Amino acid sequence: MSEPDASDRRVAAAVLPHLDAGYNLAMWLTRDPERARDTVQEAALRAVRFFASFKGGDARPWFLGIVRNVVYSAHEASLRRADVVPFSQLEGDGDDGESFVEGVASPAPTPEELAARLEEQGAVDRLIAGLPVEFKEVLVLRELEELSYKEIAAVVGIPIGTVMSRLSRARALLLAAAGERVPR
Amino acid sequence: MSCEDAAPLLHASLDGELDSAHEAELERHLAGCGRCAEELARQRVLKAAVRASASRHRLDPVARQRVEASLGSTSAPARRAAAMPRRAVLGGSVAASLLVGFGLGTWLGPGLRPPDGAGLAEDVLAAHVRGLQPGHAIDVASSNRHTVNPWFAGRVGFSPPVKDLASDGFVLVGGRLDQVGRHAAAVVVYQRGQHQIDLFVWPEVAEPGVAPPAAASRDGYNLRSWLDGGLRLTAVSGLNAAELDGFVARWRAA
Repeated sequence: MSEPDASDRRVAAAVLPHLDAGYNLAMWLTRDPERARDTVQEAALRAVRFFASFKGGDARPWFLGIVRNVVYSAHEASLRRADVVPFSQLEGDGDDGESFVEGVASPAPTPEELAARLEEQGAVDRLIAGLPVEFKEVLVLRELEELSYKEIAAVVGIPIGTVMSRLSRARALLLAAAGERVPR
Repeated sequence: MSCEDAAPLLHASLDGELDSAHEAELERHLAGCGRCAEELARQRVLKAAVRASASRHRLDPVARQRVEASLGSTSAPARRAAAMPRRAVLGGSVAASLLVGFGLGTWLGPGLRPPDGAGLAEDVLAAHVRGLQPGHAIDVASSNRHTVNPWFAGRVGFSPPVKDLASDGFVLVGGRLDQVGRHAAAVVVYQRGQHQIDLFVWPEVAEPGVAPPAAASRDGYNLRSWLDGGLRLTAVSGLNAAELDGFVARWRAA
């Protein structure tokens, strides 16, 4: 039996610490544990194949980028798109002077009311799951994986300005959805 | 500064992405704008709630072990015993010498060769040989296809066809999970006399030249591969070629 050679160990060292992060991203995007497991497996194999492209530094954004690409290439049909708001009303890259400020039809909840609603069991998960996938992914990468705007831009393959606009819209959507929920 | 100008700064400030000059500008606006100050408070509540309550999903130990094996990381012996894995990295000298017979020489592990049909054939043959080791053939033991097929649900992302070919002399003995190159495969295991037939199933990937050959033979092992409804089927066995062809024909007719 052969010893794993030095490059095998380097790839393993780069990827293994980030398997959970990869699985988390894949789960939020596909909502399917089996697809998410397959995604991480495939991403790990691609990481081996493309290790030469890894420039060193933090391997987590690099691996998460591979995970995201596997999800979009392999599971595009299964990506859940919430039917909350028509996509055409939401997309804007922020470069054309489009306002970031969302008009809210009903009065927004006070911070205290909002905190109470978000504390409800499963409320946060449901709200995030309801986001269209383009907004969900930047939110997950920012809030759960704590990537910088620059890193998110690299993972998703969009300009930083688009990261910012998508993130602010994601948050506006979450607030609007939280605000619409009937308090108990 | 207008509220519209302040809004993107607000998010960037929350995310720690704002330089000090813009932070100062934002502070000045917030000092005089109750609407934006309340919006900031709401965003802070949202951010804290997401970080505190959102699910962070974790990979289960079996799947993790599979990835580790693919990366050539050998598990500690204690963990290997506890998890009862079947996909152990090759340790037996018998299996290793058989691999040398396939021209693999050193076991590189899946994914380190560029994907190609011949490489896949070697991977499938190697997986079959691994599967011949005692205790490595099956993860689920049953001659009932209504037991074997559902076992794969939740373990692979597709439903492998499990056919009853007992009346033709091919006895279903069970199934297992396996790794063939970059593919997570379902293996449906049959027995014909002394010979084990492994039927590897994975979803066909639309890449030219990365399917196993339709027929191959190496060191007494025979391989047949075909497509069925978007699934790549590859049968491997020490059974002679004519009988393996018979297996394939019966399977496709069933």
